[in-house]
Amino acid sequence: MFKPFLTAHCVRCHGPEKQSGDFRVDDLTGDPAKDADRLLAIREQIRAGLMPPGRETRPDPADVRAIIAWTTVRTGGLAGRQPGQGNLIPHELLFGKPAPTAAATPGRLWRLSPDGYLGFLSDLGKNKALPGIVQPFTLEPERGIKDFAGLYTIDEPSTEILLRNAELIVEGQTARQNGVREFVVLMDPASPPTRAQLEAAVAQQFKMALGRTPGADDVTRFLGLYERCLKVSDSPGAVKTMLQAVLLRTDAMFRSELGKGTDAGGRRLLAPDELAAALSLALGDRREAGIMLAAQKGELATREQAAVHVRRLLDDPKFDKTRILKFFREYFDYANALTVFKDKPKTFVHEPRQLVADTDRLVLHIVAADKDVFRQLLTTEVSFVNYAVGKNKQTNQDEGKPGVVLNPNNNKGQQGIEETYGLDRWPAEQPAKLPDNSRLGILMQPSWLVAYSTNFDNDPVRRGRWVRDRLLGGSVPELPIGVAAQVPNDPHRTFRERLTVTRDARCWKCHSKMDELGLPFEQFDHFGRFRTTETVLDLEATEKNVDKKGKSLGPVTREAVLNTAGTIADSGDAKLDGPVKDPRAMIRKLADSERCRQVFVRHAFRFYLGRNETLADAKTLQDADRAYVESGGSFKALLVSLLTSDAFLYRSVPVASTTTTPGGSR
Amino acid sequence: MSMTRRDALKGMTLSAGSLVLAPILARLQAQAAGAAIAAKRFVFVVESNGVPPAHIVPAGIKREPRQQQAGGPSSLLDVPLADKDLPMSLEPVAPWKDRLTIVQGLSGRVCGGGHSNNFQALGAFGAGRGNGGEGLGIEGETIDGALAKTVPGIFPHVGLGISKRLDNSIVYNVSAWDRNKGLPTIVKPDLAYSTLFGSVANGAAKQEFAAKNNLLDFLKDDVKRAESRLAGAEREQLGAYLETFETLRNRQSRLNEIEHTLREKGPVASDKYTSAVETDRLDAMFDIGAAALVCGLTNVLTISSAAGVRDFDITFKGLGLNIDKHSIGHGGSYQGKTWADLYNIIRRYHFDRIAELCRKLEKVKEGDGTMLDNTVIVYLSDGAESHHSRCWEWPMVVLGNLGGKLKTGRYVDYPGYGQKGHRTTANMYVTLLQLAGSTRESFGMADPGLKDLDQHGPLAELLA
Repeated sequence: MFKPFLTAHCVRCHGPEKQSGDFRVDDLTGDPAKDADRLLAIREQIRAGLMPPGRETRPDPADVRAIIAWTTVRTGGLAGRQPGQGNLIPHELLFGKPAPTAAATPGRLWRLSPDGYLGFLSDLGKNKALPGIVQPFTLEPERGIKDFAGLYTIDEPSTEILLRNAELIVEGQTARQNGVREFVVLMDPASPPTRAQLEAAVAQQFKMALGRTPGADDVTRFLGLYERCLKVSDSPGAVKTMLQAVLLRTDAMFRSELGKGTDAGGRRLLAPDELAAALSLALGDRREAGIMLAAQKGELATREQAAVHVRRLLDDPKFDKTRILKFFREYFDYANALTVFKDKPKTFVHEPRQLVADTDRLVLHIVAADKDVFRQLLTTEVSFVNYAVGKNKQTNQDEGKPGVVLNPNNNKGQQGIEETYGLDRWPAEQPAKLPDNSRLGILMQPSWLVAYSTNFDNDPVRRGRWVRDRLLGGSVPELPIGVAAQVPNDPHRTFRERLTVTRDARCWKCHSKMDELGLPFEQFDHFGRFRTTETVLDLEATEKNVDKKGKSLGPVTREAVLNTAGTIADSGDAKLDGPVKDPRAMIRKLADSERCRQVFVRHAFRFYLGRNETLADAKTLQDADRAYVESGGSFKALLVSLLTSDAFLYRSVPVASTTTTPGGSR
Repeated sequence: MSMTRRDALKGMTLSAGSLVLAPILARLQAQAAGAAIAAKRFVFVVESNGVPPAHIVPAGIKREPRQQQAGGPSSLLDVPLADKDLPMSLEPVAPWKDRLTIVQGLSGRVCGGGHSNNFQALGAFGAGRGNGGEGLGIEGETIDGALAKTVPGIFPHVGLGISKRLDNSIVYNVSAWDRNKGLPTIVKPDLAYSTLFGSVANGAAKQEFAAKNNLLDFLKDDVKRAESRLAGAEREQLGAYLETFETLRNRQSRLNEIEHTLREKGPVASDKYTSAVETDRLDAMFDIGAAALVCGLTNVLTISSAAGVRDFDITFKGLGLNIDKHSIGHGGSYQGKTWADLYNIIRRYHFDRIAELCRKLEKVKEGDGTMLDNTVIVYLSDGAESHHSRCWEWPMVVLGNLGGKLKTGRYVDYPGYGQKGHRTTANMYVTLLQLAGSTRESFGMADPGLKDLDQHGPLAELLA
């Protein structure tokens, strides 16, 4: 079926006679490992409707679906390892029919995340505030879920930072003041340490940096390093180098998830220490004492024992579960509001930090209630508004207060942040209900709208792309090389009118997947303020706005009619497709959709498993979705399901593979 | 010095290089075996907030403001600078007027524009956001990264600069080694000093240096042990980590070779290193950067004056200007000085620093001439031609002729966007690459708006 399809639609331009774009399909080898790149390229082109080109005969839609499914199966686990490529697996193949068995995850190394590195510093004790410590790690700059295992290595600039940090940390650990006792006693050059003292120091550093005791072999090697250093420096210097070396060990900077535990038919359980780290770092940024202890005592060796600890951690208010909010931040990406630079508005305050804080709080509020979480996130009618928490000096109790307060002496008639939410004053009851019918859920929070805006305008294309990716589970090819995306700068037209440039047939192939899903958000301006008209330049009035000598007195604006309509098309669920009159109608429709909920589950899988799903993960995803639905929409239930799944607990026995290379890192 | 360096290169095994450095080492070994390596150095000074084209026109040349659209002058303007007075902000480099080229009329429309073009400025690529989007995406190498691979020094690239945020140590803003691989800009002078000159920083230097070698050897061994237990992708992942230790170990050896030079010619640390005043820190960075060039630590230096969208609105309090660059960009005045005055005062300060750098390089003999003879300094803004750039124009000032390869002492203004003979920033970067010995004909992304023009090749008009 594949061959005839290629012959009918592709070979004329990508065959023996002609190799358009240096690409040919007639000489595929039949070996999936060798053909993978080309199969993936073919699939992507066909999926996106880019090939065959418009002037050629259209292939039968049923054939297209069959080809996509066939190439997906054929390329198996090779498909899309990079962040942002998760949706390359068609949704129907994951949720279309009940899946029989849940797959394990291949053994892997996972470099500490930037926040994980900060957690590592806190585990080392009092030293996190040391001046001069620099964050060595970064994640890919793209939006979305991106801290994947196997993706990042440590490159040279990062290693240099790690070396300097280790030096500074040990400097603090060995200082007379606030130093680590076992280390400080070794700092007198006049009395060289005994072997027992050195062993104790290594053991202590292992405990703090790695959460475990060193093996006999480790001790010998580190003492050997000490001896070598002693030849070129005094004993305190040699001790310091030895202590630094522990901090830079491979297993301190990379989480090992190789599956060193018991064998269970072609796959192995994570060893207790691997599992303890995996669970701690799934939910927080540092090792959790209780779970490390359980691992040491051998009480972390079954799925049930893992589940006990996951539930305990989820219910323990003292354990800082930073990775829950982080997931929602990466899924929605509203925190990018901080990176969109805007000129200071004259009539109101724009403070993205506060907008993001408000949305953070709203997310945590909904997650804490833990009911119907996904739908609530999309459709809640309440919002935190310029909200912060401070201590009431009289009662000594925490209470809500305005976050950003304008200085009355310095204020030239500016409105506060409340105005952005459509309120004229700060509501004492929070979360507050917003003025009727204005906004729903996270996608109509000012923070999200700003995150998906440019310096001067809304960004309906990227808003639509978000909906396509993160709710509908579709994908849009990257901007073709050589296309400089430019919306004409015509200040007399509405943004919707200016965006009609994308309706050109060449552009529309991709833009049809985005623009109509983003245009309903034109309901808001690019600061996230609700509006009913759009302010544009009035050319005629501006031309007439001159003084007696004909000199211009400046631009004049007018209010243009606002159109908030859009269309859901090609969603993969016929019930969803159709026109929508405004963003609220669109979002309500999507929030009720089974498909969108499942796509949300797919994103949670990627975040907590640190990789894209493959076809073999269908059962894990279906189980997680079922756990969520049967618990009345509990995010906790979803997490317990994912974190005790075979994919989380088991590692497939490694098969040597040469087809993948780790991605870039910094 | 060059003899020992060449010998060291010849003796260096290929496996000792990092993945990316391996081919470079191979080529260097070839060079070391044959002809002497002619030193070539490239310095980029990137100042935020745009360079309005009118500000760098010498007295006596009338330049019509260009419209923000295709069209404009249809011919190239090429005027000798010899009998012209430099504009106020460029006066500090007047002693090198014969080596100066003021380049106007290049465009960079593939870049997003906005307050800063970030990596796009030196990369001549788009980062996926039109309409002044200020994208932070890194679509490929930037010109300083590309040159670092072409003329690698002990440190292939040194990025120094200032950030408006004092707590920053390192930022990623304008330089990149490759797609999604930013090169760091160190923004704390004390950190820059210890990175580049730490090996000879104090009396215990010898000990620390040797201790660091022990540490690196140990860690190399540690990674190798872990690696030996892995296969496939995981093995490669650790392999990359291992290579960094090997690269650093090699660097240690090379620093060891030039220890004497570093002691003799390294910068003297001062309290400017930790100053809260922006100009103090930038002074210090120019000082450290100059020393890095003089000591032979690097051949490619980028000095970023608060470039990048996160820092561009810095305030130059050290110049007595209590107004941030963003406000200046919006026409703000300060104590009777207009926005244009303020732009010029700040730019002149940068050219004072550039002049100082030239003096330092001129003092060092090299071959038949001086170090300055083998150096080219490019001044530009990540904000192209204005506060809200659209990149229809991208003014640049080029100082140096690389041993006479550039025809200098001129004011060159290219035809307007889309006109025959119009050229882009990518052509400027190709020029620099070819000067460095590369044979590349293109750089970055082609501008689809110029599909009727040949966008390949160097700026032939600038070559001798």
